[in-house]
Amino acid sequence: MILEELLNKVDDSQLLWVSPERQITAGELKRDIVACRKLFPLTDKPRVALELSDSVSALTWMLALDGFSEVVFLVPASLQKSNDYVHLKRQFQANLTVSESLDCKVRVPAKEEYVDGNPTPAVRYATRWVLATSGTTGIPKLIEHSTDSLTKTCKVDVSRGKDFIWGLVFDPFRFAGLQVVLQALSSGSKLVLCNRIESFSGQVNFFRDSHANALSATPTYWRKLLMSGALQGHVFRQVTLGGEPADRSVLNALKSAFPSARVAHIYASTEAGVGFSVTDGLPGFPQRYLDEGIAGNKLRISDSGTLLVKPEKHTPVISGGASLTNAEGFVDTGDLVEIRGGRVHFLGRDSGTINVGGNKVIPEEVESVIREVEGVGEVIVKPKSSGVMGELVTAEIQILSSVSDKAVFKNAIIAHCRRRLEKHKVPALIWFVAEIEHNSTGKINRT
Amino acid sequence: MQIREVIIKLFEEALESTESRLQCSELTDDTVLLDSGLDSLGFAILVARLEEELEFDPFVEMEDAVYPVSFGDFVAIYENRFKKGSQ
Repeated sequence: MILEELLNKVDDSQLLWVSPERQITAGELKRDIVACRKLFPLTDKPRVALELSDSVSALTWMLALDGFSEVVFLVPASLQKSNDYVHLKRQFQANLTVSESLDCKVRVPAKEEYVDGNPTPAVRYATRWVLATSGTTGIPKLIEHSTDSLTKTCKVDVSRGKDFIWGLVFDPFRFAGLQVVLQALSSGSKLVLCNRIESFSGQVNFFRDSHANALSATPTYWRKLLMSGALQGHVFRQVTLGGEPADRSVLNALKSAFPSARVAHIYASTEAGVGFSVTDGLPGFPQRYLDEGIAGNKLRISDSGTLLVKPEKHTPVISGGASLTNAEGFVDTGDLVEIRGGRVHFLGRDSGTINVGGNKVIPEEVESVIREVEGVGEVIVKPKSSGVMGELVTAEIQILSSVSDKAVFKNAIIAHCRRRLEKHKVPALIWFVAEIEHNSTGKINRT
Repeated sequence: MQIREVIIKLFEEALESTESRLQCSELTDDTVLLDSGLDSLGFAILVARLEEELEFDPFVEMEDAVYPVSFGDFVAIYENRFKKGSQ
């Protein structure tokens, strides 16, 4: 199957994608896909970097390239601006780039510019999709997926799907966002693209005014939504939480705020290319999944306490061919878990990565910035659990004897971090300690 | 110091540490938290600092979570938790 075929399940006049700038029906989307393909140069084994910032154009091109490219790197808007992107693009070895800038080989034209160009390429590929992990271990990894692996958990009942209007607040080219896009497409549901609206209140207003009734967002986003009171009384059919572990408080609060909604939290791993949802309203997932598996995936806990996943059929690989799996076909997700009361609960990342409201923070990066301040001896950055943001960044610092006024020194450290780091990476709490523990190999003890 | 005063003091500190400013003339019970100038990161910092000061975090403890919309709701959550704790 290619993704374009999903459009045949709905009437051409049905509105499929709505963004603040444009609306597009299934029929218009089909025509735009044909137009994109005509612009697409005949290339041997196309390896395409898709780097459009307009989400509707980017998704149109994604559908157009399916079946006509060997592999497509779906570049999230935020990654395009990051320093890592240059490195990743080189690693991907694109031979074509679809972008808005003038120096690219294929350009999305304004509608009236669509012209008969190249004939529709005859060569068909089982297109592979490359997604970047969100950089939990430093530089993001590129992971290859197939259309089947990305759509296997999508519901396909169009008669039910027509009653759902999905809001999108994630980037469509991040794993969590792509799941929303493909779910909406598979079941013929309308998709309301709020993701490029900058302000939170702007997103919420567009969501409400578009009569959206299903949303997938981080627990932090949902807490903010509850605190804003903006969607009080709004009738949701589906409330989905993903991107960080969901706690009992937020699950209960959502159930009571939106009683008609089905509340689900998703466990997803870009690396493993899997996701499964938990709908019993409790945090973590039932321990029996470890014996029975879930959604075709086998689960296991490693000797070091991390969750291992063996995806059904699909074997995830790093772009370039390296395998992510061990000899038995399991992928180490790097998520530390513990069994408590018949449930498997998430404790954080084995790498020590801190998840501040869905944004990943690498402790080593913050530590090296703090070490730049004169007077800092040793430093260790750790997560602290937060009922508001999931986790916060904290720092324990051993200071040199030359520091006299600790309060002034603390402010100087915070000011330095603010200059050098993004907001969510600046330590929320700083403690001065007499000693930082090291383990037997001389490394800082993070646990 | 009354709980409300502690909250106001640390609220101001949280504004400062996130380089934000109060978006209203003063904090009253009717001030909508997310319109106050403190974003959700600043708000999380406030809750963490209050935990240091008061030695409890009602948002981690509560099972039937109520997320405060106004400043008055926020203060009430802390005052109620404090009363419960001292009983």
